[in-house]
Amino acid sequence: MSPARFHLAILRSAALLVPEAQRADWLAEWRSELWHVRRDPHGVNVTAFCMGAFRDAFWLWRDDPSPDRDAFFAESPTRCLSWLAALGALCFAVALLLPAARHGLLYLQFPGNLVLLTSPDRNSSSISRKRFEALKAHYDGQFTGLVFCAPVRMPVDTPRGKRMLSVARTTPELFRLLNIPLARGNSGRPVVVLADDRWDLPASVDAWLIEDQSAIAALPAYTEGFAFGRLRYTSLRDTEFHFVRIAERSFELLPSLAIVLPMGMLLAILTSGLPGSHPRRVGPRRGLFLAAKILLVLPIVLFGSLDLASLGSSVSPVVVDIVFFGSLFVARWILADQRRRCPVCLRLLATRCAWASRREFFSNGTARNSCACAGMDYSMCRSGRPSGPDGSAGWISALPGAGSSLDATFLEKSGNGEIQFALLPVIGTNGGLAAKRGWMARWLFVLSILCAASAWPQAGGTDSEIQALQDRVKSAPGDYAGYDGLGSAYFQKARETGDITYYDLAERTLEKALALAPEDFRAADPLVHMASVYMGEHRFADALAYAQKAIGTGAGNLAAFAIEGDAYTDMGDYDEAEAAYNTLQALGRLASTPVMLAYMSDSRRAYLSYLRGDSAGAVRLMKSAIAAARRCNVPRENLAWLYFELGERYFQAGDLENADSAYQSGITADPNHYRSVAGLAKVRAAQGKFADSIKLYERSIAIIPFPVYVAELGDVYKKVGRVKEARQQYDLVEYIGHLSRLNQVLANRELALFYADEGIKLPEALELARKELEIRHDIYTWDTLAWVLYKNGRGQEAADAIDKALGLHTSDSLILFHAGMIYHSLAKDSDAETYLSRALTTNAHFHVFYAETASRTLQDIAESGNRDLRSSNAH
Amino acid sequence: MATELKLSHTAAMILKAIEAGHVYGFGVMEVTGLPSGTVYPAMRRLERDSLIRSRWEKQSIADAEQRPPRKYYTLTASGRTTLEAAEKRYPLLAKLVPAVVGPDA
Repeated sequence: MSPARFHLAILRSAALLVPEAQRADWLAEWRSELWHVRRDPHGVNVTAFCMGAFRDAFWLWRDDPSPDRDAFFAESPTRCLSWLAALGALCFAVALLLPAARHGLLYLQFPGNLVLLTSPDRNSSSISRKRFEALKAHYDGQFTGLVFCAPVRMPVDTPRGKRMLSVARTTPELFRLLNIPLARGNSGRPVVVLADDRWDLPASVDAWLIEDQSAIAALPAYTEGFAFGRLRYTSLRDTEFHFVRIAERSFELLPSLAIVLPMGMLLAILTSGLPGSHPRRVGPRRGLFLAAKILLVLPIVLFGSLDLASLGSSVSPVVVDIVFFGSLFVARWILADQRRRCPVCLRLLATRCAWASRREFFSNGTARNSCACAGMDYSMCRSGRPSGPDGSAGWISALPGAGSSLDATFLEKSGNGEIQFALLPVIGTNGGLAAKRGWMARWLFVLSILCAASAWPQAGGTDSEIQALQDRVKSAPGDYAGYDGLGSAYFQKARETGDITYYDLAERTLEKALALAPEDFRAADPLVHMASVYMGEHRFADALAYAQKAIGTGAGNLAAFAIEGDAYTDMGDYDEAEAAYNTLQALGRLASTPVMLAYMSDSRRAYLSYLRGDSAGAVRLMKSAIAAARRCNVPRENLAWLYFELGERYFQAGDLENADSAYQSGITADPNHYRSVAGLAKVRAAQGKFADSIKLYERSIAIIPFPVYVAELGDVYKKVGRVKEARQQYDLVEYIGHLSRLNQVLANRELALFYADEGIKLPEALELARKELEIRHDIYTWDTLAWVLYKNGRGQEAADAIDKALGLHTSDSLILFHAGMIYHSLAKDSDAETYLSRALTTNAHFHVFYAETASRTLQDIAESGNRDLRSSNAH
Repeated sequence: MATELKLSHTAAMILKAIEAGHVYGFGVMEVTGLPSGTVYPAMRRLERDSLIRSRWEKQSIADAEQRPPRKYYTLTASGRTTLEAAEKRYPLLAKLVPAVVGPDA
């Protein structure tokens, strides 16, 4: 391969890592740079330059926010095998490129007791011909063959001109010793055999000049050379010479590794157990897949180890250790991978984090025929976040097995042949059943049931899941898990569409599930799901009650603790919320993986940190939650939600650039994430790009007409003087708020704020805010009440309410602005000035209108202060 | 915020190199002495953080010079601000990265 092609091949290989959307551009840039590098007059190492492309490509791959990146590796078994094959081929290619590795691979073995004789009194391994003759005379009977070769440097005519070559003069006896057949010319003239570096003989020569014995005997006595012989016996007796076995000098790589490799794999299997069998007939594909994986990792381990051990000038003996431990590692990976795959379709289960602990699963497991795989199953990792001031749906954690801390402890076949099993808790009041863990067959069974249990969220959408689960509950009306799944699916539908009628459906279905479920730990999942629905309906007290009931079952369901904390947060009991999250952390450390735990708890703790005024800490925790979510391969919507929350934290801190980036990441993760789209619209408005902002708000509202965003669009229209369109949006807000009873409940706070902002229906706004306060006492509800009271001209009451809203020292510009205006109305200009300044310092663009109002009011206060000063000076 | 972004010394060197007129990856490599595996990912990060922006050279210019078009990098306004802050932090930066004298400038 020419260097140019070789370098291009490096770039093209690296390009495979680059996200597809950027690949062509990336490759074009590197190819262009390569063109210039090749022509650089300073002699740049072009290969080293090209190798840097891998780092660049890897960075782009790692920085790619697209969830497809994880799915790329996660989904298909074919893809897994392709990658293994490619990696094996790469390791083999590298082994061929590395001289030491190639030597180890292609080494020519010399049979028998072939030795090199040396003098003990000399450092080098050469001896003189005179010594050789003495040796031959004395020990000839102990060798079946003994031969001398004398390397000399001589000029040789080659097609490329005269060159100095190292040529070893020897006899045909040498090749007989080496068992290498020679073709000799009929003329009997000497034959030159070109040297091959595979012959690991100490005489490193370019060519062998085969001559008659007489020619060698005619060499001067002091001629230095090497003496090779084959021992008749295993050792040389009574000798003044030392000998080194040529065979021992060589490293018998492949045979050694062929033994070590299976040993490592066997040990791995013994220590981690076989993948076991599946309780249902799943066909031979699974076994074939396992066998294919084993076959494909063999070259990876073999050649990869050889590559690692050959980085020096020769193959290090440590290669045996690398192979052994490498085989241990890959065997364990093979088994773990096998367990993480759906036994039916062999796709990876989406929730790797969930699989890290076998305790995180629960289901009743009666005959199920479907499975959920990567990109489809969002049951284990689903969770959402409250958006804080907008009063949207609260924390959501749904679906079978969400954080359940249960372990299968036995399974048996009932009389009618249907497979049944029972699950007992390992955490909680009935905990401590670890004795029978480690049965891989049972573990695999649990895996297969997980596939079945997580059936509902298919990639095609929630509708098909709902359809499948509806069929299931029709065919098995006594199956509480079916109703549980269906209820969760309805809830997901409500989340995705904003259609609140699904809340009612979810609630009724989950009630049915709870009625059918045994009154023990098995009821934990429906209870948790019901709590999630109540959170969505803003029935925080009910959500709290159900979460606590789920905790009380002793199932150790982590999601229950999470929802308990969420409910406390929305109800304004922040200390209780923190206690719940602390319990979640403590239990999570025992029953979950660090990644899963980070995903479940960090975004929640981020929100608490933000409320307590630690904006930097909140951003840090949100980033941690996002990193964990990406590793957990969570569904698009959840990832988008986390990015949206990060964007909110940045926006509230006035960091428009990072907010922009976070919202855009949210949109990339889920183009239909209406909150992220609206977040970006908010940033555009803050940047003064009102046309862009309007387009984005319209796009968000087209997905789901969320009242807060409709009102914000109205504000932007108003800002640019399009009063008619603004009015239409404001009318829409009111209309949405009055669509149904539940809408009113959900939109109490937003409507109250809206009325107050618009200065309309102020008594009604006060009533709504007070209603909301009955439901929750968080700082945003206090803030709403304060603002409505202020607009109703009840300044002192407003001040009392805003003090409660400011109780946690939250750095929210809107609350600070409300506080400033309230204190200004009470003629407490010093306080007003402080709060308004803080509002603008925190985020100079916090609101389309109020940011300007705050500046103006501060100016008024300053002018009024100056007037007072002048007046007092005049007196 | 970009203006408050604290750059590593390497990133600051690259930013300085671009400001000094070394407007493509290999040029930055040459002047900073950093390997390609460092320079290009760092430039991606800088571009992602909106401190630099890239543009492809016009095909006609490249054709006229019988070479492939190059991707050029320039500092954004926030990149310039960040570099000013970085220069205060790393006072020797300007000495490490000489300005271009020639066609790149």
